[in-house]
Amino acid sequence: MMTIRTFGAFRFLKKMCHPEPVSGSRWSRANPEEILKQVQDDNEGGGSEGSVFFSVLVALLIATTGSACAQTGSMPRDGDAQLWAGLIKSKGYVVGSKLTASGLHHFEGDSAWTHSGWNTPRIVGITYDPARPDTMYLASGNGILRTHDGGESWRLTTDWRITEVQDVSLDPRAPDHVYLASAYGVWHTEDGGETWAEANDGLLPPGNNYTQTIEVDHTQAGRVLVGTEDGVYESTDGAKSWHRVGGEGLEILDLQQSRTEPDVWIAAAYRHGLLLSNDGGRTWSPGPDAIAGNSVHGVAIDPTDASRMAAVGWGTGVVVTEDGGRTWTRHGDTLPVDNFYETVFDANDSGRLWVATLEEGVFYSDDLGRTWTSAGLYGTLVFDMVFVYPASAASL
Amino acid sequence: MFERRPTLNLLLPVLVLLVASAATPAAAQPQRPVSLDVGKLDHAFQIRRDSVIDFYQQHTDPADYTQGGYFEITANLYRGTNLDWAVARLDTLLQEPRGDMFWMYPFTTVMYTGQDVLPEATKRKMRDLWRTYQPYRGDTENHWALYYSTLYLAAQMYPDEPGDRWFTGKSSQENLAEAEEYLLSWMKLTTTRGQGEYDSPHYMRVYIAPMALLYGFAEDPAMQRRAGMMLDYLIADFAAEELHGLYGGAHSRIYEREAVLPWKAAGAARMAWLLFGNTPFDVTGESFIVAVSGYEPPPILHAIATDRSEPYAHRELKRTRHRFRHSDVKNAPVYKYTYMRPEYVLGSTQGGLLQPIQQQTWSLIWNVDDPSQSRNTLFSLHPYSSPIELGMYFAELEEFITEIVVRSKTEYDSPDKLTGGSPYEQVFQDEDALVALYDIEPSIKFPHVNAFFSADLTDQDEDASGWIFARGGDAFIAYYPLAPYTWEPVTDAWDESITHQRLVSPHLKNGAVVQLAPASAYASFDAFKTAVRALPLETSTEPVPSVRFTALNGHRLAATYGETPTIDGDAVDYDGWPLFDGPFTHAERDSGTLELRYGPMRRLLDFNTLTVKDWIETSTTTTSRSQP
Repeated sequence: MMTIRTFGAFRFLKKMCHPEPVSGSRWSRANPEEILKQVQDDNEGGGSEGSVFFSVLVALLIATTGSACAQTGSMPRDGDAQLWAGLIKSKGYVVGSKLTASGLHHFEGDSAWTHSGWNTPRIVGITYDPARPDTMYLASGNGILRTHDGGESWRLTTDWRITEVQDVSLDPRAPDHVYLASAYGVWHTEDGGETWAEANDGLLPPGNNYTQTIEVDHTQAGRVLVGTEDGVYESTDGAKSWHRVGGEGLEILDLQQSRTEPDVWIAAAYRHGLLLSNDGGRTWSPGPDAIAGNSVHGVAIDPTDASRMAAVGWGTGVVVTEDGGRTWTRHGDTLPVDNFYETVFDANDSGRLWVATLEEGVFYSDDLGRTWTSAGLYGTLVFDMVFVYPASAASL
Repeated sequence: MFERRPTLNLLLPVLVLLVASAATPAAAQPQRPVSLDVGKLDHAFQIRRDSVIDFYQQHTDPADYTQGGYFEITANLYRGTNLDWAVARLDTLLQEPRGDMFWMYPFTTVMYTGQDVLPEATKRKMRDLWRTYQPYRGDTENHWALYYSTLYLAAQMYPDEPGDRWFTGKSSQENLAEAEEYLLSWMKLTTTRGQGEYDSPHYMRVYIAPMALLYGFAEDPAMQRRAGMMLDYLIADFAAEELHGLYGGAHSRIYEREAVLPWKAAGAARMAWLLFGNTPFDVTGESFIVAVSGYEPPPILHAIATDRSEPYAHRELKRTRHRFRHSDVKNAPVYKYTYMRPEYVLGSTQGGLLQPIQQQTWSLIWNVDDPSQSRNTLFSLHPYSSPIELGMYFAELEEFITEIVVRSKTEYDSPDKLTGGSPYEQVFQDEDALVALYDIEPSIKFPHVNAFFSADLTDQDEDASGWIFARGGDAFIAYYPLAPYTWEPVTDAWDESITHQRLVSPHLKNGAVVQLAPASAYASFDAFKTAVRALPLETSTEPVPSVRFTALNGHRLAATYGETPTIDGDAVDYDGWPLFDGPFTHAERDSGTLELRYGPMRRLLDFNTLTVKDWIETSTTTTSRSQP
């Protein structure tokens, strides 16, 4: 009969909640059985006998739910921005099959995430009103979902005309103005999602008006940048008209603006690496040659330091710069895969970098990618990660 | 309990009498041999309908509360049998709804069929699922047909409820209005520019099922009428191209195992058995829904589906699925051509990327006595696999898109696959002669051509002339490859003991000429071979594949890759291609109408006026009656 000493169960819990950072070797995800065995091994020859059954039961229960981890470790603090993610538990899923809790999740600490709202395979974009963070908009497979009560209730604000939504962005200076990027171009609401109108004047015609990403300039109401199949387009009149500002011929997959230095923008391109802008997205220049042929899916700018940026994609590893894009370094070779969907810098812990791998989990690093800590979500595709700041931070 | 709705066929007894007594049928429409005794047709249909319901009702073990799905439950509710089991089993299923839009339509069937039978507590649970379960709308045309037809019916059943009672957050009225608007939009697009997910032997059932639900349960007379007309429309679309239940020709979506054994396609034959009884028995949940909906196909559809006494050519216009990347248009036209005769059906589209993943650009199906175990088909393709194709239709990151697709459609990224369209193919057809050309880019993933040669073929012979001869039932087949090839074995998807052959030709400039003939037209198979060998045939592969061929019917076919093909010197008129055209169906592009024809009988579905008009066409008089 398997035996385990009482304190072993607590050590087990600790290991589950605080997996060792990994450096220089392939990351092996925290596995309850492996850790249980390790604790058993550790216990051999010492300690007092306890309730074997109870210990194992509690340990496995907590390992499964992750709830015990919420009491220790990298817990969000009061007043912190909260990390939200749109994701799908994608392994084994095809449309019509059973879907394990997917959709909007928020990070509870360590590797614990809590699902809220729809159980749906596609939540691919998240935006919110900085002055009223309980108001969020989600780009979902069924259209744009909106909540005004922090996720207690949701309304599908769009109808059958709008589908394949890829991203959504709210204008913080005109919070009833929300823009969505879809496979069929851009749509726009001026009344908080009550009505939506197409906004494709100046973009390419149907068949070629795929838009993957959209971002409102948080310093200028009505100024919006959108990533299309044919470069970055800008609108300065609330999406009434568009013109291209860079990346001609490139499919743009992500756009981000610096929170602290709004002239700094970064863009991700399909099989063309990165584009950078230091003039508010009005002109763009190519990023590092090392990943110029790669598809970059996610880009991020540190909200506390605009010279610190990161990019992830297909076969890219995690590419970071600390000098505003002059030099870039590749990290992430110790992560289980080289393919990523998304990255974001932490809003609470300066310099902490988060990455979402292709179905191998979410990880964060406090040394810009040299070592990593697992934050769960194995088997998942994370389409978007957003830190939602408390309302008190809106003026920032 | 459920009562059958009156059908749109009130006029038909009159029509059939007129057909029988018409002294001078229109000269171009000879009297057809199919019996149109309405009483017999109705009786036979009711028997088949009952059989489908019985099938699900009898597949119930009332002692086993762990087995049985929504259709078995519905059948018992409908029949008033095993009600304790049905309620208990339903309660279990309600605890874990799954399947999104594929859950919505069987669930809605239970909702309506059981509304007078189910306990109030169960009905409350069912009602609440429309609040607590969030079905994904999906990304295909069939997903949306299912989603919106059932959302419409749910909103209809629970009217005047606020948004917090619905998963959408919208009120009953808002849900109903949105669903109706989409359904009308889809019907208009389909009846003016053709279906996007066209003529799928697998998925046709998930268009017929939602229309049957609306026909059976919509309270708005206009919606109920539209649904009935759409059923006629969709079934006519199938009927004109089916050979004893097998969906002939080209398809938007077909699974490999169904391409090889056409009777097994999940939609076509099973629906055909219920509607027409012209193929061996089998059922599907969607034919069950038709059975309980009260819909009955009008006799003219029965005639169109079953009369194969005379050969005919049939054309249809369809469209591609919505494109959003790598394309100049949102919906490109699809030109379908099908040649039907008692011995076989040969059909094609023009080729190219018309649908993602599961396209079948052309196929031959020959008639057999028992299609249920027959691999009675032949076709060729270029096995194209590319994120560019998938990116045209799927809003996923293109680096990962192929893997996502392969998770459910394993064959997509395989060099020996047997389905799929290609941007490097061009096909055209005149009656029972067909030319397929391939001009393949050298840098692509699978730079070769596949052709499927079934183990059911007999007398296969690689002739010194370059023709490959074979027999399929009473079809004489001649296949002329434009480039050298080898043979690879193909293990049958249904029976591992059966091995087919795959003709594999690795040459980038490639193609084939196909010539068919009925066995009855020749004294012997050798006589057919002699006739084919004597046909003028010039082929070349440089600079692009090209064929000049005089077919057995005497028509001179000319095709050069990248150019419009010609028949007897006249370019094929793609610009003037009608929505439907053939002896049984006719519709002009953008018309919003479909005229069904059989002998002197006519039935006009007019979606502009929402009317059905039946009449007898004679040389001297027209007797008509409209249904407003």
